[in-house]
Amino acid sequence: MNLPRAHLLIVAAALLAAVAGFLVFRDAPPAAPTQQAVTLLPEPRPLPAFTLLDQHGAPIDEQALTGRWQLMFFGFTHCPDICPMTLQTLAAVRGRFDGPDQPGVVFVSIDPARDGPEMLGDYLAYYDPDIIGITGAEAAVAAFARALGVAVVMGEADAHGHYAVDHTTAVFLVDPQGRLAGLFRLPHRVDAMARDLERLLGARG
Amino acid sequence: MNRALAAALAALALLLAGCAPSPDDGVLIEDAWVREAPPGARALAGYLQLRNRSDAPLALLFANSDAFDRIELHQTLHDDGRMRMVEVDHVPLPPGETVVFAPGGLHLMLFAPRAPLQDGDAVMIELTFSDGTARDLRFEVRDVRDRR
Ligand SMILES: [Cu+2]
Repeated sequence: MNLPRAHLLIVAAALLAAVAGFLVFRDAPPAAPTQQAVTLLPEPRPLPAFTLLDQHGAPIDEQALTGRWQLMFFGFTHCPDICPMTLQTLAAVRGRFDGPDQPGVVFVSIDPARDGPEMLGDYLAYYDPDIIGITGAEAAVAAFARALGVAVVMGEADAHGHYAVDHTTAVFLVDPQGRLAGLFRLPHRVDAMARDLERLLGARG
Repeated sequence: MNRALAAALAALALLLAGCAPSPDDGVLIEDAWVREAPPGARALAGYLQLRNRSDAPLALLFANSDAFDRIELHQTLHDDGRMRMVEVDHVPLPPGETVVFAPGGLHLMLFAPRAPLQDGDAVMIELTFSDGTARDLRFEVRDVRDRR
């Protein structure tokens, strides 16, 4: 009679531990609230000056990126795997905010030879028509990317004339004064990015 | 009564056995889909899972489809804060293992769709394996945008 009772006690203790563990972990926050996704620059610095084209074919310069926080990244439309993921993530971050707090999203094509304004416009509108698309003369886009420290390596064209473009995966954070304030490295998570932006909006206000 | 029940059970068992994939089926393919792309996109990505259920190493060699100009096997690589897509010659399928083509990693690079593809459409893609077999597979087009 003693043995089964001991077993019963062990089972009960294990159950209790499991329930306690469940309760503790269920109530634990998914991540420490102090954890940051953004790497802020010690001092924001002005964006390199540029004159390029937006997706409507109109000239655009660094002044267009003032007035709100902006999430800017570099990509190309012949990139069906990772670029859509980033665009979706940034569009979702944007969707977490309303009104003047809503950050802008800026997509700079590092493949302007293939990504003319019309192509870029159709591509971006699919994700969010308010995304600002930037393209233009190849040399001017390359100079802007270089000035931001964006490594761009044009792949060699294959027999079909197709080439890929290696590029940085960082998302650049531009403050409402149009200055480069920091960057988000991979992985890009909607929750973490939105939380950091919320904190920055709070600090400013 | 018992005999009738036994017969019914036996029939059911046979039916179930007929439905289940046979164990020596080589490669089991699951969750084959194509990411819906913006209108006019010249390149799309296809994903799937391949499980090699045989005892021998296999490899995925090619993919072909009438729905696209051509298809390449691609891998997205991240290094040093940079992203790049590289074409791979073949994708090894070790025995007993599942190889996953998923966003941010392995993908079928689908060049120049012959017709616009939308959520709910399906395309047939033929996969050729190192054992000489080929499989015609249905890929479902999916819109995976985050709808708020
Ligand atoms: Cu690819």
